[in-house]
Amino acid sequence: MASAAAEFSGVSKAFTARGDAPAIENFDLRIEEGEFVCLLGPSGCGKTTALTLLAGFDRPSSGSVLHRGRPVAGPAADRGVVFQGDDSLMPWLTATENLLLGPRIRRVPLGEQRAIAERLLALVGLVGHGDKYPRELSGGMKQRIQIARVLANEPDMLLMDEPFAALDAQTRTHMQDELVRIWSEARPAVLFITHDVHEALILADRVVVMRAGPRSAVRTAFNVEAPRPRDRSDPRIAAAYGEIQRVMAEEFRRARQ
Amino acid sequence: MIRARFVEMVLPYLLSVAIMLGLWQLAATQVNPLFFPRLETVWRSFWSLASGDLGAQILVSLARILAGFGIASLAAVPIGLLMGTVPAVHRLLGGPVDFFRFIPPIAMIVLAVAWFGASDVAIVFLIGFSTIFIVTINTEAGVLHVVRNRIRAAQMMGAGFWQVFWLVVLPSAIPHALIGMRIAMGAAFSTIVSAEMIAGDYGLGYLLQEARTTLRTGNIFVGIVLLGMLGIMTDRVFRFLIDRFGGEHAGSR
Repeated sequence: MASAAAEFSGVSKAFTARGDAPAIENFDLRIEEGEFVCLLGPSGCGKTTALTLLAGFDRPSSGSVLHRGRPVAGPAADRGVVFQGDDSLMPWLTATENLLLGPRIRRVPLGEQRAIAERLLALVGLVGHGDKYPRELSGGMKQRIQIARVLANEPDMLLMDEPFAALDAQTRTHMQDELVRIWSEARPAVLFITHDVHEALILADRVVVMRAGPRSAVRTAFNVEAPRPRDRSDPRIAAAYGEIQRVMAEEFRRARQ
Repeated sequence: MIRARFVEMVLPYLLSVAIMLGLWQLAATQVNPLFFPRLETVWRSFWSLASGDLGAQILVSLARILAGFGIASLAAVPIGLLMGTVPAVHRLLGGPVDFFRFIPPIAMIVLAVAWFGASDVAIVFLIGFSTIFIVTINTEAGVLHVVRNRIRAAQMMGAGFWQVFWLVVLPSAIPHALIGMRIAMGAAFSTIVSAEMIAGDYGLGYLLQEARTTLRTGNIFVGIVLLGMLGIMTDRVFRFLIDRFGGEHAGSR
């Protein structure tokens, strides 16, 4: 069998310093090359923990996390992370400088850097805003810069931790459409965390629902067959929404107990 | 428009100066002028000092401050960066830094004179002593307060240890180091006076000391006003630098 873009097998992660029960236990998940997977679940169910392990920011307590068949040894440019808030942008750098940080780290020649910046600013719709500092950009624009700075490294995998959670509904819808468009061009594998069922259905090839934590793992998964770009009123989306919402409601109830 | 700007921006400053001078003059009329001279007496003292070597006295004091403060800051910033970055260095130096920073520089004057004589070296040492620990702990705090997601962002873009240091840690720590230097400048100003009183043969502290022994209160007031004004000027320089180098994420804006 060809190696997957990413594969969690029997992964557990306990934060020993806190002495709590493991956040995730026996967590299994396989993400194929080019596949868009949304991870859904009630807050505190270990979604971010799983993403953090695949990003290489942290190590599993047991089990294995593979990226393209090789164990994750640490963070690297082939797995781009889009963080939840906007605090990961460097406030002392302009939008362009922020998105060129990866190429700068790889010592890409300056001429090429200019071309990368131009192409990506156009791709994320920020032409004319390159010289602004993060504090001068709206929330949606800052998340575009985050996406652009990750794409500048041409990762084969995108790890997105509720990247649109802080945006207003209008901007969020727009960003979802933009993300689908960008993803269709570069086709990286995506692990996208959200607690918004609608968002998952608009974006994902497969929606994976986690159980309430602690000791969380995958509860069930749904394939989304509707073609892209998806219409939010598509009856197939509406039907899947009802089904996933029912499972989610159960897990939310369990999370409260 | 211009008038509104004047009322809002300039008038309060003029008013605060006028009130201070007014209170001064009011106090001076109530008290023995030997203890609290009137404005015009101080003004005359200023001119008689200025026709002498007052300018040179100021420059000598400023040069001593700059030397001690500069040398200490140049040492303190790398030490603070190391303490924040390498836990073993923190464990090694954290204790001594905390120990020495609670010793007022004044307590070291007699020792400084014993070690270096009543000389520039002793005074520069004391200024450095009053600077180095403040700048060190502020720089270290800057490193420790680097936003974790910024480090992670650099790592996921392929940065190694040194690249994270140059691209994220250093720019995050600089505003804190500058804030430390701004605070330390205040400490250096209070130290220069006591140091020059005891170890100096020249400078503003010496001028105050001499005025005390000769009971020239007018000169004492000249020295005090000059210290305050020089302090405000250097503080403005640091406020400018902090604003320029990313004060917005160090909470000064």
